[in-house]
Amino acid sequence: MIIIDCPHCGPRNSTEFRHAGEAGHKRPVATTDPAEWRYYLYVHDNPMGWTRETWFHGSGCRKFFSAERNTVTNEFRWIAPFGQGPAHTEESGA
Amino acid sequence: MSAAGNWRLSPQPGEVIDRSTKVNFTWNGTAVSGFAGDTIVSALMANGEQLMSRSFKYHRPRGVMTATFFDPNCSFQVGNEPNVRGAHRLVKDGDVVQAQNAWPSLKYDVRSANQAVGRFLGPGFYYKTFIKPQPLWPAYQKVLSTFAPGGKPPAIGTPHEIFDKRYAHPDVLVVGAGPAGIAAAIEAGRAGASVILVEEEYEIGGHLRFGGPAELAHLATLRAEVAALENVEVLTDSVVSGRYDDNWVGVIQRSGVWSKERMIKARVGTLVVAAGLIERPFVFEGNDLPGVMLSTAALRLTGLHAVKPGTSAVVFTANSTGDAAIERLTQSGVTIARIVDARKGETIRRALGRGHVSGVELGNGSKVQADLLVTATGWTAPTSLLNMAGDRPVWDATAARFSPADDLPSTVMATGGILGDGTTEELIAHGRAVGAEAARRATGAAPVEIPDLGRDPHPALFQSSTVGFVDFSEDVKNKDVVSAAKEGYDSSELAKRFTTSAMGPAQGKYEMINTMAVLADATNRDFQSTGTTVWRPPYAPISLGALAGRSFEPTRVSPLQGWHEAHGVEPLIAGQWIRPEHYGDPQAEALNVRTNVGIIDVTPLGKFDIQGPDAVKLLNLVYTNQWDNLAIGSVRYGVMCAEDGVVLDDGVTARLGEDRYLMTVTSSGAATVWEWMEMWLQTVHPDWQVLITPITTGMASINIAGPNSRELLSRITDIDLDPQTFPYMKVREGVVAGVENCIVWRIGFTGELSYEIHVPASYALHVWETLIDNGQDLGISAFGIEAQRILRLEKGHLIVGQDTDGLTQAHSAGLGPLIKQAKEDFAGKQELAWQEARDGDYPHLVAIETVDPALVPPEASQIVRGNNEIVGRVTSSRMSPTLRRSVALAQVPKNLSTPGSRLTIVLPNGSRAVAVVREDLAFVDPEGVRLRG
Amino acid sequence: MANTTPIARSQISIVGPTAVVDGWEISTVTSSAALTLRDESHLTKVVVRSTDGAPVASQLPGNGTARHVGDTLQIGSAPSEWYLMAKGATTASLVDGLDLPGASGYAAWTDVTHGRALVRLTGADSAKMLSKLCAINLADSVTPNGRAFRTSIAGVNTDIIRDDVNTVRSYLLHCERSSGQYLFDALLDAGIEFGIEPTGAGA
Repeated sequence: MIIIDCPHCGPRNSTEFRHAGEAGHKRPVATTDPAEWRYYLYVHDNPMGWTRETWFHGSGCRKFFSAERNTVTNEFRWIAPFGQGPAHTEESGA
Repeated sequence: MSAAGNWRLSPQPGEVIDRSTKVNFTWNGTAVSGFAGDTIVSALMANGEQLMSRSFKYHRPRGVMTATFFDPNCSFQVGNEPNVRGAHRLVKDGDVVQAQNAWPSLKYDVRSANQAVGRFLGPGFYYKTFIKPQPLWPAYQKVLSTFAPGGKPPAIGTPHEIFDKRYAHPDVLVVGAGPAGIAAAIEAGRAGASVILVEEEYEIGGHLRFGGPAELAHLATLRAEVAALENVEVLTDSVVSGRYDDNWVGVIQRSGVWSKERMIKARVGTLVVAAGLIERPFVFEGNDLPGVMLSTAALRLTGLHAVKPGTSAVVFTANSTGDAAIERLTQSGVTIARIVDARKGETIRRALGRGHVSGVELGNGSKVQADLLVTATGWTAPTSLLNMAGDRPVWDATAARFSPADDLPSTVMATGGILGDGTTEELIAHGRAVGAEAARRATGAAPVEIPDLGRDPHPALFQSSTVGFVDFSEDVKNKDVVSAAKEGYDSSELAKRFTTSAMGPAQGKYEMINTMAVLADATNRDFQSTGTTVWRPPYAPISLGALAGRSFEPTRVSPLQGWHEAHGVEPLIAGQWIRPEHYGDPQAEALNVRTNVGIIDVTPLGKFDIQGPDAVKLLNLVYTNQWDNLAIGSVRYGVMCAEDGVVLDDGVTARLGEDRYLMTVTSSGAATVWEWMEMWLQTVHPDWQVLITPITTGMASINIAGPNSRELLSRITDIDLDPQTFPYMKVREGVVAGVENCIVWRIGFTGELSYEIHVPASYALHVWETLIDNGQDLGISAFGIEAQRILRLEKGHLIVGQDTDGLTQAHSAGLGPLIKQAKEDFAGKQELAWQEARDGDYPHLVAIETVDPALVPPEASQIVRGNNEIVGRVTSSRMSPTLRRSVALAQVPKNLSTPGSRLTIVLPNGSRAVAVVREDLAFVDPEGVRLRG
Repeated sequence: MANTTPIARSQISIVGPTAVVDGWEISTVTSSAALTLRDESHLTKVVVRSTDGAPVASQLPGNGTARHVGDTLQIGSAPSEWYLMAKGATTASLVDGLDLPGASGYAAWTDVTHGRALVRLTGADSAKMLSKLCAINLADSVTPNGRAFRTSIAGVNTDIIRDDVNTVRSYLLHCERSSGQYLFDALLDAGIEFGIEPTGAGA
């Protein structure tokens, strides 16, 4: 079981968290195009490698937070309070 | 051989038995005795018993080979516990030990006739023979299971033993307490690290324990050093089962604990693997006969248990351990009939004898009489944990064993025999350096230099020129591996699965290298390119009890649970909640609500205290309807949808103050809705000033329903209940039954005049009992969830998740009037707009009446059209005590949703029933006169 | 109108003699065991929350820490979230003096006296025992006296405060009221090995 270093609670077992999805997909609130909305709802990048995501620490602080994780190695490049991660990097692809 | 008599040696310097404590047990019904500290196997051998079991496939006689936990043919039934590892388990007074896999008895095994037909039981025999015809599989299974090994599981009703669990966070965990492992633990401990030292056997020491005086002296020093360190926890009779991501390490503690077994889940700073080496058997004809054993087995039996393993021995040696065995056997009074030295090119061809070794045929064809054949032909590095850490060990042809590939993560280190060879001093020095470095890596001290530990050259010895066993648990021979290769199963992973070699209880510890060596020979490849299979967890078998451990199944109850239980409640398990289903007669409970008054405990209703100037923005966002105009003191029903327009939850919310709301949600949806609202606030609108506090069981909730509910409540509260000033869908705060800070609102899930009281939970029992006391003349009775379900169905109120499903968008549930597209934004807005534009072309929730009023179509019954085309289903159905007829809700397509449509329902017995769609969802009081009264 | 005085009852059932103190029915059982578990659910409890950066944050302990201020235990249980607890206090007295309206940001409080089950585990073996139910490292180096954290205990989301009593290791644990009895029973069961005994708050 991997460890996730919650920005508020420190390192905890991953069972305390819920993966809350890929980050950076803007909610097209004003769209009138069903295809655009459903692309937002259902289509994700799911890259092999680095990806930016949102996590939720349900068993701890109950905060959503941001992270960049390698989907192959499970390595976290950074973990930060929600929306406070480093700016977009070339490799992140997100 | 089963020569009676005393095979116990005089006291040995390293022996672990306590000769002052005799242990009496039975072996296949015969009384036997041993000493405390004896394993089952050593006690049997001390009594001259060498036949331990019959083999898996051919039912050949088998004895002791390794004298360790994994000894392939020493599993016994002990009492009601099957598959006890008899060369490891200490024998206890009163143990009832029986051989497994022998029928009718160990010595006269009928199924050993399998030996004669052995040529039909080649590799893949089961796969090939028992495939067709498929209908016969159950019959095949019956036949095969009588031949399968293994003991009898405990009978149903056998009392459970306690299995326990704990977590640990050592800076350093050392696997294996041989000289290097102990030294690593000592040095890590001295560096200030918290250390756990795990040893599979009952005492620390590894091979030093059955060594000579010099080894025993080293061991005494190491033991004293480790005992002096309080921060080193030593776990014996414990095994590391696996290493997972981020050094999550499982340890099974088999004894020495309060429970039967304990699983330790350790998060380890630095994992030090000091698992030593496993001695490898040699493949030759007769290598499975009782009397053939490894040199380490001879050393263990003589040194630890003071058991003489034979009278006259041939020793086939290729290394110093074999040489040490010769010396020890000589000291123990065993005649050394012949030394066969592999380093001089000598070899053995076959063991002779039926049922036991009687002699040995050497490589030159000469024969030597002996009742013991000891082999010392090489070592297997147990690299399982290194594999699990990502290492892919490489074959060292000079040392004839695998070695770590040096690609370990920095949190995993290796020391001792698994890494290299050396004198005891060198092994200890290496262990000390690794221990110190392990502590540094975990705690951040200065780096430590680690000396080299090279590997000694060793002859590559795997098989003789004869046919013998590579797998003693699965009865696989070298020729089976060769024929597998010929059939095309020439990759190591395929050959293993096809022959089942290395798939038995020892999981490849003795079998893997020889299997691969035979395969390499058969396919003309070298060892490295033949490869080996990856070792996966668990390293050692884990009992199911240990895996289950201490089971955590939280339950939730209301403060009224004691009252319910005292009044004959039938409990309803709803997720973690235990709720009152009914108190004996739900139909009567429901009818009493329609005629008198009932009270129900609805504490699990999710409740949130929502405060802040932007609270109304949150309500407008998560609910589909409009909240801007809700006055203080009012209550409103709302529906929440997900972003796909599917109904997520529903409930009522009250405005208690300028910036304060009390939201209720379904009990099963409470956790989801809380997270859903936090998601919106934290990730989409962090600037909003809204704070949510769950108070679900801070407030116990009691619903009073029925025509007499106003009279009842008026007797115990000062709150003005006049329907003019406190009408339907209003909320008041006040004192109820003397309890302050109660919240009372008028809603009508049951369709009756009803008040829901939210009481500070510690006073719930007081309020409930006061209601019961004051309601006697009003016909009060408690009602449960089932009566509530009946009542709400009579009223046509839907239940989210019951009358809706994971695809039901809000318009399908008839919730159109509650969807305010004029709002700027709300969850589900877009999809609901598109649903609305479909002009009714979606499923509809309707109330239906069966033509036969006595027929209650079971929930989930399908509604069909024409030739069995499924077009809908019954979502809720009950017999109505009020109407004395069946009432039901159903989801149907548009063209069957108009009132008067006739539906065909398929019943579980296949017959059809006809039902008619009603005008209104409500069967009882569609105008809402009763609940507004 | 009701003619009996309401008595407050904890979710955790009482075995043995009881007394009514401050309107609460509490246990008067005494135990001298080395490891004890005591129901303290009768403490007045308030949760304070604020938006990020609200001024109330400077008046209360930081996330993950707890401190005693007079008779009140103040706990920084999560970012911008605090529990305040005291025996026999009123909720108003607990939040008295806090900058709740706040010039910048927003803060509010909720009475959770009846919504949280609160127990105290005391004894030298308390960490050893808790490690049977809790995956957090309870070593002094990680969770010293005065640390507060929230995690899963025996499968229940629980707030834990290391709050030693006269240098004896002690933990306060509180969870959602409805799981209180389950948590209490799970703790007692895990403590059998260490000779745990329940003890009363009214002793």
